[in-house]
Amino acid sequence: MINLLNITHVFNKGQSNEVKAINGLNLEIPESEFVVLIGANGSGKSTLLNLIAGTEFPTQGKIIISGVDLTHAPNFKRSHYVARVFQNPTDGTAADLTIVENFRLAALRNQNISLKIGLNQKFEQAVKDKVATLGLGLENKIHQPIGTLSGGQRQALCLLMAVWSDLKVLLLDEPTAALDPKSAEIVIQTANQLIRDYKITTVMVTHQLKEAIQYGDRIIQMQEGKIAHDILKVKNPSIAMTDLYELFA
Amino acid sequence: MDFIISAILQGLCFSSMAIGVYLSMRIFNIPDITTDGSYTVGAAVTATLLTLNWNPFLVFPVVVLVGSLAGAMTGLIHTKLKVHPILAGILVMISLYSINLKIMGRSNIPLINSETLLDISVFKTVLLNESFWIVLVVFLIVMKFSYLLKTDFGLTMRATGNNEKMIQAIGVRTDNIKIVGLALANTLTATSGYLMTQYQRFADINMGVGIVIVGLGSVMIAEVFIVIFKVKRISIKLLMVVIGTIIFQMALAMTLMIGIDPIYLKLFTALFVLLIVSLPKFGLISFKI
Repeated sequence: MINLLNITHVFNKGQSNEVKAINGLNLEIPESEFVVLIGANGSGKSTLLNLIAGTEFPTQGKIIISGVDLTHAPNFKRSHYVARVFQNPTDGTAADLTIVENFRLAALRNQNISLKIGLNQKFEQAVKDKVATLGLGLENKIHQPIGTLSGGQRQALCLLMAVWSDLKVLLLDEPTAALDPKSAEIVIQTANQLIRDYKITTVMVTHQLKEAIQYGDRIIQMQEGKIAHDILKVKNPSIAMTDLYELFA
Repeated sequence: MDFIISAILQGLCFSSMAIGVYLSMRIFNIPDITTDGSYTVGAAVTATLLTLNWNPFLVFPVVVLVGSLAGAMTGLIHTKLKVHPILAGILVMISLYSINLKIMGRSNIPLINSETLLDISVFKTVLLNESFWIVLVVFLIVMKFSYLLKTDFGLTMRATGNNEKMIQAIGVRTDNIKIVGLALANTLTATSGYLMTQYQRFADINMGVGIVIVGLGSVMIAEVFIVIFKVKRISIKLLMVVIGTIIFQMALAMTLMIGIDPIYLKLFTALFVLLIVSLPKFGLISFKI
């Protein structure tokens, strides 16, 4: 599904503060695999996510998603393939717009935007039904500005919005880092449920080793822009948090 | 009484521009001051073509075209050259001063013998006739733009001013949305120039000076109502902008009525807007500036 071929990404090339964020990285992620990227700050995991999302472009190498070379396609050109949930829920929603309006925007991800009113009764009902599956009681608040909700509620809605229309790859950028423990639990469980239900290929960056072990199919630890360890859960079913912690030493 | 009626009609003429300001400043979050120039370019084109005996219905599309060009130019400078929108607007506004002078050929064009839109006879009295046309144009604008803002395209426009990153992530080129949005806003402004020129029967090269402040003040009065009445529907919000513009013109008419020298009109306009923007500071009402 995702093929990263010999990726190198350099910041401030040729200047005294040159940084090799990614250094000759190769990675193949098969369909419907849930990959978790872990690693110390500055190890390159966020950069890798940005490269897949298309907000940054690699200095060298190729990015192939679903057989299509998207190495140099900017983010708005790969939105048919890739949806992203940001660390901060305010980044993934338009605060002054209502819940249902935000969902309408999410539904436009794979469509041409026209001068038609797409936000009709039928659409509202569909949003209500979907939102009800979260079990957060938000289905009665769909005409409320999304900015009035808590961070956890917004993040759960962001996940639902991301999977609203067809997607090939879901990118989760520390989706629970800005949340309290209880909201974080709800959000990660919602994410896992959606990923399994829709069989979505997922790449998640996280610092929560517990999340990585509990939900990921494959844990990749990065170090200095390279893959240091690549652990498949099926082959290491008994892996524990202490084992991962050791890797950081 | 005449004073009040003419304030209402003037307010209606300005309301198209105020909706334009609402669109750029509130919906897009782009402080666009091309307004001063695009208002005058609408007026200049209208006066010049009417003296050439053009049909007022044919003048209108030309006004729309020049207004949208002015806005698109500001949008292009802002998005493609990464110039701050205020500077982009000032640059286009200043260029338009020369262009407007070129269009008009002189600094003032009176419309004494030309037939304007407001002269096209529907009702018997002049006042009723003028009011009919002005109200009709404003009504159509409010209808059209409330529909537009409810469409998928309109939703994208509203969200662009709210969270640009999110809109890019759903596959929209926000640069294009901004250019189209500024073009629309300045088309509305030029339409005000079109109406006002025909209402006051002249165009003047300086008639646009400070007009953006009139628009801003009107939008803020509207927002006070939007907050107080908790308005949610977009069509009612636009209607509030129209009412805000009329109230603003009434307030200015009052200052003249109590005998203040017209020389101070712009000063009072500025002071009035200052008063409104300072309301939240005094804890009287809260809205974003």
